[in-house]
Amino acid sequence: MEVGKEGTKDEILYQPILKTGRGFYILFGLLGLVVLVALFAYFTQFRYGLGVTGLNSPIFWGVYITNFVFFIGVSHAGTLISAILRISKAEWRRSITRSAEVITVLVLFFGLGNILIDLGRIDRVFKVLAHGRFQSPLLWDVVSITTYLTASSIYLYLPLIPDIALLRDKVQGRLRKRLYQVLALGWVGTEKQIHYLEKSISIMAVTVLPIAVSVHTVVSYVFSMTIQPMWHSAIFGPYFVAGAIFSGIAAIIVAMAVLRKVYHLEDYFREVHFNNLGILLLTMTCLWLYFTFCEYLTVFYGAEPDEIKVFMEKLTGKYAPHFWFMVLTCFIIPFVILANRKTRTIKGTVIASISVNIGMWLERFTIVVPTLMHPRLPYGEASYSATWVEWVILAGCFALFAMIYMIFTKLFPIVSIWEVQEGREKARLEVTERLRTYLPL
Amino acid sequence: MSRWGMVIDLDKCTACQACVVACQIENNIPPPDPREAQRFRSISWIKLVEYGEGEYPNVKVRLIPVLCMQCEQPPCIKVCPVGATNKTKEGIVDQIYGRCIGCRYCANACPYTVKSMNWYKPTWPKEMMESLNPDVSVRPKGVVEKCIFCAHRIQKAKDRAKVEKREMIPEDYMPACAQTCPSKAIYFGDLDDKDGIVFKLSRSPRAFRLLEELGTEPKVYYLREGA
Amino acid sequence: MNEGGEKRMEGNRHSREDKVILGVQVALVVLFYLFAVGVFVFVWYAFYRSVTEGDHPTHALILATIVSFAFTILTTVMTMIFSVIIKEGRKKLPENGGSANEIKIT
Repeated sequence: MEVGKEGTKDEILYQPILKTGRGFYILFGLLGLVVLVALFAYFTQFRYGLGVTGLNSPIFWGVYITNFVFFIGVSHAGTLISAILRISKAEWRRSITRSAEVITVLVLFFGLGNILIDLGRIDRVFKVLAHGRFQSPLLWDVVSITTYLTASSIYLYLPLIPDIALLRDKVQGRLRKRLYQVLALGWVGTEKQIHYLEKSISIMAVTVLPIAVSVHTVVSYVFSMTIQPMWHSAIFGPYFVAGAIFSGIAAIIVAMAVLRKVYHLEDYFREVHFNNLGILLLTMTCLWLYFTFCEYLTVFYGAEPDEIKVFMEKLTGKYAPHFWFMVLTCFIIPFVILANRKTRTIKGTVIASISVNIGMWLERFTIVVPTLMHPRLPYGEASYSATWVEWVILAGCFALFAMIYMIFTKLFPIVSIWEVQEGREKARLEVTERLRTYLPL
Repeated sequence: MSRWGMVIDLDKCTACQACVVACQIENNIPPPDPREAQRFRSISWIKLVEYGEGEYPNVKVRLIPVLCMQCEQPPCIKVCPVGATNKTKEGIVDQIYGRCIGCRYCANACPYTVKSMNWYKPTWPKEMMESLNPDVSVRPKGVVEKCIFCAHRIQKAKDRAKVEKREMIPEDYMPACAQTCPSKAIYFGDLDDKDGIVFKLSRSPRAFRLLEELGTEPKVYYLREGA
Repeated sequence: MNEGGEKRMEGNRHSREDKVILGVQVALVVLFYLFAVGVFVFVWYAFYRSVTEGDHPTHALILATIVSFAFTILTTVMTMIFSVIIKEGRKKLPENGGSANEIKIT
């Protein structure tokens, strides 16, 4: 089987699929253990009831809903990088679109999963299909997330087809070959095939953007459509979407850094990629600060008693440590690292990204709990501390996500090989042509 | 069609909590485990809420019995994804335990925080199992519950009237709290009956409702103290 | 079992193996159609219920319309992709036995 001359340049991108080292199995096993413990934790909850969590009255929502919003937020990773950069024809996107799109598709399942875990009666979940009421923002969530999951799965699959065809021609194992033969849809790279594929990818890139915006907007509506103090805020829609893009970019950076190390992808995930993503992250951290500032200043000046109670709880009360740690990790650390060219290195952007992800989880948490702690009627002080069940399930989510991601990298190239090759062969001419349309050359 | 409402005269209310106990017994509400009670898990469909002002010794405290306000514009119904929380034709905000998926969105949306969740399967000490009310379903774990103005008593009242070969009159139906209150502070009846006591009291200059400004249109009125 | 079915030249243009692969591919797209139909049914049934129960039909109508629109686009894209790419791939069959020798982006 002949592999084109150009193909040998990208040989390293095939390696994870062709070979698996011991490190992979060890890590997979360890993560598997975490997942098993998490399954046990959920089984405990399923058997005895939500009482095994720290939830109570009036704090009916806690870690699970925080996880839900957080994971749905991270799912905006693929959309931003893939769709927006594709539409704006940014060439540096070529090696990173695939890893971003995989994050999106996978993490949506965990968002959905956490909502299901949070239900008091998960065995009745099909009642949502039989008796669903569209007046409820939760139903808007159901359709929006379903649409987004479908669209981003298609959007992951389409650019994967030519790569699957490359694998189909390369691998020897019978079972794998069958899998690739089926999924490659008979791709041979004819003009018609390429034309229709590119057209479809363009349609999807444009379609997936409004769907993605709608997803996190309706997630925010779950809170803002109630009349609870500091939930009923008009800014929640844009705030959540911006926050989602923010945590999405951070997630990509972390994923890329790990993949770069483990699969030796230094040539494909270069300083420039981390630098560019770092600048995007810097922009988003400033945007995050702006939105947060707007929200809190409005509450402060409005001085509505019920809202001020929640406000003070966040700034100086029981959740002050969470709130201020969030400000530190969402703005101060990322801004300091990313604003300075010298510290906006790969290591710097990764540290900033991990910080952002921690901060964004805390942001969701400080939105959910302090409001619930302060009902309008004077019921007296309530408090919430999550139990081992909730923390273990969160850890299990991360572990299972990593495991499935690892499996993906073993089946499909985590860098889009044909797009890299296309960039190498065609892009130079295209970009020169484009320059000609902008300026007299 | 009746529109059931309630008026609580705060001048007469002694905060004895007989209504709370009566409600627990009538509606098969499980007694809280002391540990769970400390974790804010006790279920009570009616509670005495303390409105306190000032510092000792110049303290002013009002104890107000708070139950489901049976709003005309309920925020809880708006957000229920499956319609387990719904409004009957007679204006009672009802709870279908068999349909509830336990998402607790309604509990979060209620500005009066009158909804409770069954965090575990409700259990009673063996001795109390004999005194469960057969007219009220015992809730399974994982569903939300709240005061329904003892709506199970409506059917009983209708049946009794039929047996006695007469029409049902408003006095036939009364929730447990209204029936039990020793100082007769709780009035219950049809808000649309212009001759009824509940309608008249709801128009009293002493009448007010909690959180009226939110537009929920609660059907539980309170009569201010110090007449 | 049939080994090396792609290399069979006499008789069938498309070996049994290729037929099986095509079958699975068609099954995939049919599964997608079923899923899309399921979504359509869900949202319009919810609209129907909201009308018969008098429970805010406007909300249901708006959402059903938007979801139908989105899923129509997605179904169109999937159909286009599956039909064109599979058909083109099968046309190339005699020259390269059903698989690509080299990806040439022209």
